[in-house]
Amino acid sequence: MDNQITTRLSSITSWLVFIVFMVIFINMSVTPRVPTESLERKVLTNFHLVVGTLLFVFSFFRVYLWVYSPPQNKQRLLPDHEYTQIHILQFMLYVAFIAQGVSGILTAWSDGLILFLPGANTINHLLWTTSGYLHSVFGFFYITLILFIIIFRIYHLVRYRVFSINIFA
Amino acid sequence: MRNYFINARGRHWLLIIILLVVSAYLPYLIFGAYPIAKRVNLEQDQIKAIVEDLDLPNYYELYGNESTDAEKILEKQAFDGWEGGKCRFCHAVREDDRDRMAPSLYKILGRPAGVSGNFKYSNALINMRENGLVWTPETIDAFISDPENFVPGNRMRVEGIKDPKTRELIINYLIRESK
Repeated sequence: MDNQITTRLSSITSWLVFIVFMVIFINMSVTPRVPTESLERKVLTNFHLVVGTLLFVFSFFRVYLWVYSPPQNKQRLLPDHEYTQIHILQFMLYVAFIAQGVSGILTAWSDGLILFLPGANTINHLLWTTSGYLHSVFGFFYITLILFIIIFRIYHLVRYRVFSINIFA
Repeated sequence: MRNYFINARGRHWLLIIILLVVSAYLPYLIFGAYPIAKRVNLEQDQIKAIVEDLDLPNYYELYGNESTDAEKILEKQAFDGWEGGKCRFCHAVREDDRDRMAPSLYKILGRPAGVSGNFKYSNALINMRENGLVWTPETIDAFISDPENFVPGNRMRVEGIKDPKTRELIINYLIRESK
């Protein structure tokens, strides 16, 4: 793949992840307030599964592009160690989204929400408990990563006059 | 790519590891969640042995089902709702409900504390069971009004329900739905 195309694809994928993440974040904030046995709750849960899968796929593709063509500090506005620091945080953010996707699929599957084989009983409370816990762990992990990325971005803005509105890029 | 990560300083990775470790602890700290479920906590004959000398009434028969349709809606809202107890978020109630992250409340009344299957109880609640705590409308009311004060160190990390009317609606819902 041409380097320019990879860079363009990486940028588009980061924005896609950013947008999909915002959608799922709003979905997560609204869902607990909706009665559990209502139709609206079922719609929101299924929407969460679909958008979460999209986030997983986009993040996976973004990591593939990252490994295929690692970012280079060409603009030289940030010192190398600062550049590496923020990029490691961002890279781990995508890894957290992938881990979140895997644990989320396992949670939904063991809760009987995904039936790969029609009629097959996939409900497994022990797996649901563990994968659900991990889903929560990776959720907290990406929230702390995002907080630290924002803190570093503000620091870079103040000290080096470097800023990007897309914290995932 | 390899050089990219190798050249990263140790403190960069240290930050990631610290964040991951803290994140692994947060679901337990905030929600009282536990990563492992136990299939069975106490066998039925062990549960029976705990309560057989207590001469407890059948609470489900004693309280009956006197709620009107309008009250039933309020009771359900108090149990399920975000503005009520949010109990449904973690607890199953009926026999055919799937277990969630907290113990099922099916047949909760007259049951010793900390005996339900599929859940790893805190030592605090197990100690209370050994000291004779049995769930009755009165003990449930005391517990949900201030869980941390009633059983210090338990894993139900919710603020107590201060409104007595809401607690009454929740208990009525349990009497009706958990039998």
